[in-house]
Amino acid sequence: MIKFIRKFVSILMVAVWLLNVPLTVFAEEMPEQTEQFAMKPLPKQVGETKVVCEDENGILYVTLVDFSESVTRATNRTTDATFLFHYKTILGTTADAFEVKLSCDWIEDGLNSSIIVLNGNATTLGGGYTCTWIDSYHSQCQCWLELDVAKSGVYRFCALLVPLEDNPQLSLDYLYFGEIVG
Amino acid sequence: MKSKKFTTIVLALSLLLCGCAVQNDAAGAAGGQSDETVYTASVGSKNSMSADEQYAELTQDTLREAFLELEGVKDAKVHIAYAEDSVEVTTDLTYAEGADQEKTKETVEAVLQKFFADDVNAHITVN
Repeated sequence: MIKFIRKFVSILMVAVWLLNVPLTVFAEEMPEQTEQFAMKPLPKQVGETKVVCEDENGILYVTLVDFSESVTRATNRTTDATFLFHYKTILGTTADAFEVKLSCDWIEDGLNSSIIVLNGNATTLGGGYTCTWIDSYHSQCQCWLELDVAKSGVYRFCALLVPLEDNPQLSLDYLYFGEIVG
Repeated sequence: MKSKKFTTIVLALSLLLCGCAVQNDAAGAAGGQSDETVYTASVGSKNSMSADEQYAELTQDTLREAFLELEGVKDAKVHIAYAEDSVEVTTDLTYAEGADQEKTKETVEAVLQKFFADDVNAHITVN
C-alpha cells in the first residue's frame, strides 16, 4: 500500500509539474513587460495585424478592425478607427484583450488645418486587462491620449496632422511603454 | 491490481485537468465582462507636453513621410529634440532635380511653424 501511495504521489508530482506551465499560461494570458517602450505604427489597412509586444508566454497583437473617414461639412473631417488588441499564447490559444476606438474631428484647410478633438474609447474584453485613461495633450496639429492598461503598460495614441497646403495628412499611431511613465 | 493503479492515475490526472478547465473558465468569465472608458482631448484640455524621445521619433517619421509627398523634395531628414521648455527642429532637405529650392524650403518651414505653433519655444531650422 505504501509503495502504491509513493508511486501515486510521484506520478502526481510529475503531472502537476508538467501541467504547471500551460496552467499558468491559461490562467494569466497576459504578457510580462519585456520592452520599456517602442514606437509602434498602428495597422493602416482594415484586417491588418501588428505585434505589440511578446513574452515567453505568447504575443500581444493589434488589428485594425474598422476604419472610416467622413466629411461632415465642407472642411470638417472625421477619422474613425477601431483597434482590437488580442493575445495569443504559445499553445495557440487566442483571447481578446481590449479594444480602442479613436475618433478624430479635424478641419482640412491647407496650412490652417487643425485638429478639433480626439476621442478615445477603451473597452476591456478579457484576460484581466483593465483600461484607464490617464493623460492627454492637444495642440493645433498634435493630439494624444494616454491609456494605462493594467498588466500590459501605457499606450499613447497620437493623432498627428501635417498641414500641407494641397494635401493635409492626418495619421493615427501609438507609442507603447512597458511601464507607467512620469 | 495493475488495473486499479491505472484507474487511480487516470482519475488523478482527470481531476487535475478539470481543475485547469475550471481555472481557465473562471479567468475567461472574469475577463468577459466588458468595461468601457471614454476619454477626450480637445481644445482647452491641453496638458503638459511630454517631451520624450519616443514621441520625437514618431513625429520625425510622420513629418518626413509627409514632406516626401511634396513636389521638389527628394529626401528629408527631420530631427526633433525636446528640452525642458523648448524644442529644436532641424530639417535637412534633398531637393529633386529642377525643384524651386527656395519655394520648397519656405513651404516646409511654414508647415513646421504651424505644426509646432503651440510649442512656445520652437526653434525651426530648414537646410
